[in-house]
Amino acid sequence: MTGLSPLQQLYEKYTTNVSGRLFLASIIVGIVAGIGAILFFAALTQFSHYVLHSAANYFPPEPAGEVSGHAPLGGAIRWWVLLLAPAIGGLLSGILVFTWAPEAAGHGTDGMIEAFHHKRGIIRKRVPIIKAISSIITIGSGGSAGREGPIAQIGAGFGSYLATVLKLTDDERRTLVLAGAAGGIGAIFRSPLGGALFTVEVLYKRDFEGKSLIPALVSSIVAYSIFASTFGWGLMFQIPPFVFNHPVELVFYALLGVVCAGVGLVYIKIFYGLRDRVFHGLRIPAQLKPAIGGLVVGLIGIAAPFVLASGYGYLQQAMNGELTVRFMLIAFLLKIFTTSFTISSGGSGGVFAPSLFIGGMLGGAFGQLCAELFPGLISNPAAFVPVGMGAFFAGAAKVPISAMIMVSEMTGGYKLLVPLMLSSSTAYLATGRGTLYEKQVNRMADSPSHLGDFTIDVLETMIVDQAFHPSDNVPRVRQDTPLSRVQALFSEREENYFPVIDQNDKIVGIISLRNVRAVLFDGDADHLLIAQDLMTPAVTVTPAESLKSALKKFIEFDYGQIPVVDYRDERKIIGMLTHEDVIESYNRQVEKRKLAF
Amino acid sequence: MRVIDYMRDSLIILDMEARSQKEAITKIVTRMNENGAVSNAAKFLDSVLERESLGSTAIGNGIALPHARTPHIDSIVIAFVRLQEGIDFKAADGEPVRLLFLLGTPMKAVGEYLSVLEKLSKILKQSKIRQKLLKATTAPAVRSIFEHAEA
Repeated sequence: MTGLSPLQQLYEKYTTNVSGRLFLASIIVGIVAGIGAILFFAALTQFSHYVLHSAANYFPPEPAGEVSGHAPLGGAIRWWVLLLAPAIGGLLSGILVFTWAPEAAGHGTDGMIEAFHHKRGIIRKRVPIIKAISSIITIGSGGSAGREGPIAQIGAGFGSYLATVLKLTDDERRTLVLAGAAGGIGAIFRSPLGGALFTVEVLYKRDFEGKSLIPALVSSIVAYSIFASTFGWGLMFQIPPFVFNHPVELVFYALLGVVCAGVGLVYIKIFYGLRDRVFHGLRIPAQLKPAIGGLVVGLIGIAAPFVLASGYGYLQQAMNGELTVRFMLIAFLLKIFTTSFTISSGGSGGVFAPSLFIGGMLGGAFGQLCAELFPGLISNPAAFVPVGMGAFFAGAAKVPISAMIMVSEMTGGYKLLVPLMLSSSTAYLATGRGTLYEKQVNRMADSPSHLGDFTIDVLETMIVDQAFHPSDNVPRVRQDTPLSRVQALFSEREENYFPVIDQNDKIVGIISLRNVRAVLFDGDADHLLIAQDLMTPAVTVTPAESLKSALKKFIEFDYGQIPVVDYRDERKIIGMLTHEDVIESYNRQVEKRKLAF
Repeated sequence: MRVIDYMRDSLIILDMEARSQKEAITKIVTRMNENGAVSNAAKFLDSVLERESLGSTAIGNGIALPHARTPHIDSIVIAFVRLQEGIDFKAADGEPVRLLFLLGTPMKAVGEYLSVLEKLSKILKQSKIRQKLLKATTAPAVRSIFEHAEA
């Protein structure tokens, strides 16, 4: 046992098998996540007290479960503070993040998802610390963002660190990353089951990371208990005794799911559109961009202060049935913009809390409108608030199960589980491939973390020849095709890249939609750029190559299809292999094996 | 980055002599090589000439922007050359070319490459700027024309 620290020695002594040592590590991760949540929450509350209460003399309403004890002092709101605070907060957080940990920008949960899939679960030690401080500044100064991103990073960062210190395997490190995030989220939202389910669900659009569920639950139980011992065991929101006992209402709940999905897709478009089309193109240092986002937030905030910060107090009022349709419609619309400007500019904070606000206000407005249009059919319109919260997040974040559990745990509204199930599932299905978490992958087979799992054995025994469709007519472009023609092709067809060929019809590269952003050269300059100028080296497979090797290429290069070339002439295209072809052949092979037994 | 940030005074050549497209391009690449702007001059020249053979880079009004994305250069460089007399560059408008901007890009810098070409071709669309470029007598004068255009 030489060379091991006392902690490691103790650890080795009490852990004999793999699940045992993960269990013990999950408890430690849970303890740290719980304490982290306490410190983060306390610092955030204190900082936002200084800025919003003391400096701005603005006392937003508070949710029933989070009463700060600071009573309004009376007198007018200092509007100029509200206007400038998010910009100054953005400036500070921007300098902090982009100088020391650029990967902590934006919403932290994506950072955790990316570390899980692509970085063997490794998170730099400084990331959680920078993320926590910058988020406290961003949210505390009125920016519209939530706590789930930063707290997920804090817990996940410690899980990653512990796994490295204890020299655990990559798989175990990934599990501890999830356990850490689960503990943090479970604690700070007082939603232990939801937090654990969220971390195993959020990695995929259509899968669960099932094997990490128990460690996530263990960590979440510990972290929640520690947090609640300090800040109380109550619920975040208090709701009237809503019930579901009128099946006709299901029609409206299903409709709410569809509406949430539609708004969710628009939200995602605005959120990432602002980042990619506006802030990304600004010719100023990244450090300064969050300040510009913050200034816009401040401008909206002085007209409508209710869309600043978390807005939980207003959600509470909506659940109490105290808000008008008009107010709720304005609130959810503006919240989409304040959140997008806060986070898409590079500010720091999560997307969960704003999503609850948007979904809740949308649900509340929808419920009241339906109650007016169809009198007598809806027993309590305010019940649509919590259901909207869950459904909206279920659809936009691709987490149908954890969204409904989190909302139930936060409100205690378990009687609404059936409507939540319906609205969340509907919203989840109706958003299709759209998601707020762009690092999510579709299924386990799409994640590098599962490369080497059972699928590979089968794929190793199969070759490309068994899977692809030969074709002499693969869509392609010649290397001298002008850019404008290539752009037109991309808009006419579904492919997101084409093989590029020379005059002898031999492949010389590929051109992808990514490289052909909207550049316009008019008149004589049209042929200034041709396909050859923008192509990248071709990734190809031969018919004799194993499907395992093909799958690796799919995952590595992130293209939906790969040209198949003749094995005698590796520049001659003889067909295309799509990702679906591989999965289909895999399924066929598995069926065959089942029959053989 | 501005177009001018990719140019350097030693690669602003006013009144070069050349009788053909190939001679002009070869001379410019030789000059770039003397200035250490390319890592493999012979291969870089091949890439530019090969690209030109796939389609003329003349954009009309007596201007051409020969260019290539190749591994034989480490960062984006633009050389500006004014020829004493116009030469045929297979331009769509048939005009002989006197103003040449030769642009080399490393393989990785696709986005940057697109935006430089876009900016350069926009600037050169202004006939006032073309007139000034034809009259400039020193490299700093050319520099200030671009600095004004991009201000």
